[in-house]
Amino acid sequence: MEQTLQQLRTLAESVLVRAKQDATLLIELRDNPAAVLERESGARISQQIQVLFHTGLDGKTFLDVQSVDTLASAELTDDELAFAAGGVVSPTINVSFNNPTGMD
Amino acid sequence: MSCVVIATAGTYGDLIPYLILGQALHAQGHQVRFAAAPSCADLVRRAGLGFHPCRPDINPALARRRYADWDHWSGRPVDFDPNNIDLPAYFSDCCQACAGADLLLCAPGQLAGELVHEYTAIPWLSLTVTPALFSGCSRDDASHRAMQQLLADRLNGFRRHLRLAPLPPTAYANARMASHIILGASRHFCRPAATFADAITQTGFWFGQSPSEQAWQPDPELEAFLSNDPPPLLLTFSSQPVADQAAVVARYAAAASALQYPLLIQAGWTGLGNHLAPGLLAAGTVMLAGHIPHDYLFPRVAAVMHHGGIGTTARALRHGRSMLVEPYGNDQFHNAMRIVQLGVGAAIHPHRATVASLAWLLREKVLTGTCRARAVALGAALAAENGVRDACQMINARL
Repeated sequence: MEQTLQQLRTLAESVLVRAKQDATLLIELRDNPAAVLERESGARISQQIQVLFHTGLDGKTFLDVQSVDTLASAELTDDELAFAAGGVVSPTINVSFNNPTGMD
Repeated sequence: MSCVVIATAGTYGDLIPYLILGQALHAQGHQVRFAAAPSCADLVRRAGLGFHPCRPDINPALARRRYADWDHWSGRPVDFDPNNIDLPAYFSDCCQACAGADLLLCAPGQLAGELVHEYTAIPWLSLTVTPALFSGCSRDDASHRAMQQLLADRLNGFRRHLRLAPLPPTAYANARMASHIILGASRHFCRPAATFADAITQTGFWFGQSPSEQAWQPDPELEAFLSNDPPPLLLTFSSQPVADQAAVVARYAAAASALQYPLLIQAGWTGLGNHLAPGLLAAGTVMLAGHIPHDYLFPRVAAVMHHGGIGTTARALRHGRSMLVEPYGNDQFHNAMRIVQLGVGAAIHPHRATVASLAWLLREKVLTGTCRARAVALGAALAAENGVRDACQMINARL
């Protein structure tokens, strides 16, 4: 049985609260957060879900559960890059080659 | 011995390769004079080359003040005010710099190059390190056409003042080039579109030690940080300004923590990480740094996360580093596209990036064995080139 995204997020919140009082659990989360959630839920986590434990610069910890589809949407596709590459707009850099006078 | 003027306008990604080329020409006995922004004076003089201040002056303060103009994802119409282009000033500065010159080597950012050439009859070559200019991609929307028309009006108005024949608006995109162009960008990275093939001599990237690097030594703290296992990820945006430095740093620092990599942040023009209190760095997993020569730094990091500027891109390629690119504007999109197409990295949208998506892209696409192996192979191919030597040969042939 696989956990839904929402079920996993709810579980992640509670596990993170416990981990803040449990150094061993915190280390386990840091090293393999997906394995901890699988153990806690007793169910497999889909490969289409990423569980990420991270620490902010202020020391706050987070357990982030996201679908791979959501994560991949931040990636720039070939089409987007090709479109953007054709949209060079800086007046300092954009240039076209044209020399009708032949004076050089 | 000939007198060569190198006129450039741009950021360090442009300036540094030109300096390296200038030093090589100087070593061959030529007198080399830079016509560049006043903010470049120190670097040029430290390279032992002549300097003449030349507008436009693109500098860190300008970049920070106009950060929104450097972010082309906003979807705004092209924001172009021809009144911001002070052609008489560019022309006057560049003409003065060219006094007694035998050859003008002009970067496309210096809009007065062609005018100076026509007015003074000094021979010229276009010099660029920006392969995106020849990709064959060009925007063709109403705002871009309007911008071209405004620029054409501006340039032709000044041409009339100089008693030069006006050119048709179609002659202008934004700037124009000589009929011979030297492109300092490896063919292993990209090749110009066929349209440009006859006009361009393509050499490898212009690598070498820049003047600021010659006496540089790493401090022990930096050496220790770079000796971490795994080695750190590097975040460097060089001259690219961003609206919210704190958010960018927080995102990358958290992604690095999730992957259990240390993170080295170079402040760059935008001052990445300068907002951080020293106490926040006490854990030792994040380190802030100013200038570090890329030739020292890149071989010592796990991957390079950057804005896609051609200078950073070229150095990362040369050192065989895989990359995550967060492009904002100009040629960064084209460079990012090539990095993705070559399989040596991935690209992320600056305004869709999250901690989780950064971590996912790094793990799945940048830090993989396959991606790293491709980057190493490409680095070896680049190392076999000698772009500076080849560019000097072409320049010498014109003297």
